[in-house]
Amino acid sequence: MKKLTLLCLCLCLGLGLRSRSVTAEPIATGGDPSSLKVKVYAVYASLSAQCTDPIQIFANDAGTFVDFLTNPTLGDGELADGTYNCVIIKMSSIIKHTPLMTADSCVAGTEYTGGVCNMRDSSSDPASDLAGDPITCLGDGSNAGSVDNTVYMYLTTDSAASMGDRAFVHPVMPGDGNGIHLGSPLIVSATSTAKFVVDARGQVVSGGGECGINAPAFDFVNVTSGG
Amino acid sequence: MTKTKILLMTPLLALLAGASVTGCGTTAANGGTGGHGGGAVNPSGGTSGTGGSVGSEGGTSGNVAGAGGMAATGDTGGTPGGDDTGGTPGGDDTGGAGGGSAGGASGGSLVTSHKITIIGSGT
Repeated sequence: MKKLTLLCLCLCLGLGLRSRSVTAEPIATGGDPSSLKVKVYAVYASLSAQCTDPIQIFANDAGTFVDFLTNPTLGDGELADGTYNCVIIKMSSIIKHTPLMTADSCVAGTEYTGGVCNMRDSSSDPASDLAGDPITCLGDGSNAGSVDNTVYMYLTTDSAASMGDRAFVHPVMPGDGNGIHLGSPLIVSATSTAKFVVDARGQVVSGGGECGINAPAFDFVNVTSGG
Repeated sequence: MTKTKILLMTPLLALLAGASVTGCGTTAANGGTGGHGGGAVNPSGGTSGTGGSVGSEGGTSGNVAGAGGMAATGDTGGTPGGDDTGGTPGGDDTGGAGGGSAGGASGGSLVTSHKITIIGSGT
């Protein structure tokens, strides 16, 4: 019974893929992925920590899954100089990963699919779109049952923002706990490069014949600037 | 020589912020030197004034027609100063200069932006 409970917990965390541990280094309880594919549709920035009046930096409506372990360029665009306290990532709820090592149900070199979307089993914190309207997240998060929902990740400097469990919930007012905490604002004063981090090291887990991945650590950092 | 008669219209200077002033062209008298069109005055923050009115008819022989009025300098998205028509050449004389140029470029605060490239990362 204890084993079954543990397995269920692994499935809930690993295959349910709710974003619970973010910004900080993920606890390495599993294996590493050799590929981690995420589909980003657009990136926005807002001067407000409540993510109001977002300005689109770039958009790629079709979107393609790209392997974040290869440091792909997601897009670029012009942004007025300023201090942006919110960055919004419009992305697919699907995350594809390939285990680096074979362990139980996870076979090295085989790509698995899982989904992240807050609404499932958390109706009080539904994922929401740019207008704040709820997003219906379909699918069960399993390898075979994940559905490609479009979600918005709200990274905000609001100190009360969540560490992940409300990452896809639009902040409404200061201190409401919505969004995911952004360590420092995006400051645009020169041509620069920013990095959207999806760190899934040590998060590949297996159980029940499935191979899942625990919620990665998400972060957004300004890495270079110049002229 | 033809009798000279010069009529001058004093430019109306609006002192209220935001108002524009239309310069008036002067009338070049026959036989005399045409007057310059009045300069349009544009107070800070106001729309540009209309350029001076048409230069008057050029003088007769031996004289120069008046120049058109100068355009105002626009501040905030000023409307172009009116183009003035140079005075009609008088006799053997050179016609008046053309009117003022367009009003100043749009004012307002200058917004600077920069390119930002976003990359994905697994670490």
